[in-house]
Amino acid sequence: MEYWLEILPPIAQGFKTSLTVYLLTMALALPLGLVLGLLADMVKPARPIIGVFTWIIRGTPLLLQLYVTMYAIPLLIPMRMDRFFAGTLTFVINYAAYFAEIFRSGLAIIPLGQWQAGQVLGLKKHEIIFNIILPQMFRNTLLPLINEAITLVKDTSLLAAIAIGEMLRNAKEIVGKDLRVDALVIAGIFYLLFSFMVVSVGKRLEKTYLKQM
Amino acid sequence: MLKLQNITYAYDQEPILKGVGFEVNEGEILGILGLSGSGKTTLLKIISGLLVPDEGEYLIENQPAFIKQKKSDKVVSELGVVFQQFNLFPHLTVLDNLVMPLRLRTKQPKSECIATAVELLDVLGLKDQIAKFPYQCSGGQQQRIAIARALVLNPKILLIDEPTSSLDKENTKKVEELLKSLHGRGLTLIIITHDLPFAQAMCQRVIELSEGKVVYDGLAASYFNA
Ligand SMILES: Nc1ncnc2c1ncn2[C@@H]1O[C@H](COP(=O)(O)OP(=O)(O)OP(=O)(O)O)[C@@H](O)[C@H]1O
Ligand SMILES: [Mg+2]
Repeated sequence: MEYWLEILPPIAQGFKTSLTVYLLTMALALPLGLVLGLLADMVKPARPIIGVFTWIIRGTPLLLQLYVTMYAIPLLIPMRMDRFFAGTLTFVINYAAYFAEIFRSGLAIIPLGQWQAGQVLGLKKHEIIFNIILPQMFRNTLLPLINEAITLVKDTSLLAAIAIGEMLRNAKEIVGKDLRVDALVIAGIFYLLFSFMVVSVGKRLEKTYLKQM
Repeated sequence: MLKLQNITYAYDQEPILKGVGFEVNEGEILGILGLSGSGKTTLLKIISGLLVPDEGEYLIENQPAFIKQKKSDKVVSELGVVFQQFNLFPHLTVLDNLVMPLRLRTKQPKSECIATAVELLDVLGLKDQIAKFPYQCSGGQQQRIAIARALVLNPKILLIDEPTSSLDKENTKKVEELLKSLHGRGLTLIIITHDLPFAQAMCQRVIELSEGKVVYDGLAASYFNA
């Protein structure tokens, strides 16, 4: 017990880093993905460009993308890359690509008749988008979005690859130093609690928004 | 009220409507008949301003319905449209299916919009359904919700596509009575249907579409006795 109290602070510190990247990624990638998804659905010329973007991002490992941002970009453009910035930026771009695809498919399955119903009622384009299309898209995409939100919890451990002191990296260091696995157990508990919280929020959202199907 | 002349429309190469023309007079019940695929729904989309005709003239109260390829406000204010598949808003309650467009269009306070919507839903026998979502309502009820939504902005003409296609005999009778009572309150009706007995019971005048052209335009009585 005493040992646990001793190793808790560095793990908690790592958790704070993981949580910060998590929250920043969700807060930035969701709106970015939404804009990309809307553009792909509604603006024809944007479609192929966004298609190539999502193909590249979804078709290569996140780990590779982290290396590219952290180590390859500073070789091309002489600059000092901040680890935390590189990690967050990569996560935002990566998740935005997944979110864009989710939003795009959530829009594609809304029948044309919904637009037409809005049009014959004399609603303007933005009124149709905000009052008819987006609420339905949100319902269509809630479940896959919750899945991504859970995956992101675990993906934050990849930040270790560019030497960011996130939770798992800190825990591993303690294990290597003390030759005891307790730190990994604690980190595991943190991950479980964290994803449990994400799942609970997801369930709440499901309950509120998916009952009317 | 409406005047269409020589309307032509093609989705792709092959024209679906090839010079359609007719008038709609105030207070009448006009049936638009024709086999499946004859272009009735396409015509509904033109009348309601969803599709712009390739050629021809479409006047509403003697004003052009399309100005520079865009539908004029008259099209919306004059016409209420009920789609073949209803196209109710699945994420909104029955009440909000009416209140949402009413609020956006009239900018009246919410309480007034709700009062207007409730009153209309009550007239259509839907008072017990207002808090439900569309999927919780029967086909006949959904039909009436769609009619209510089409009427909530007070159009002069109700344009309704295949009102009986998904209904049994009993509900067909109910729709017939409902439409007749709406007509009694001064509404002009354009009913698109291939249900001939229903058309015979409802319509004063009918138009028959065939191969993209109007092949009959006249009294329903003579059409059905011929
Ligand atoms: N969006 C579209 N794109 C291409 N062709 C279409 C489209 N909508 C309809 N058509 C074609 O236009 C023709 C007329 O269709 P429309 O829906 O107007 O017929 P309808 O008279 O309403 O038939 P029904 O009685 O079955 O409802 C059909 O041959 C159909 O295949
Ligand atoms: Mg049709």
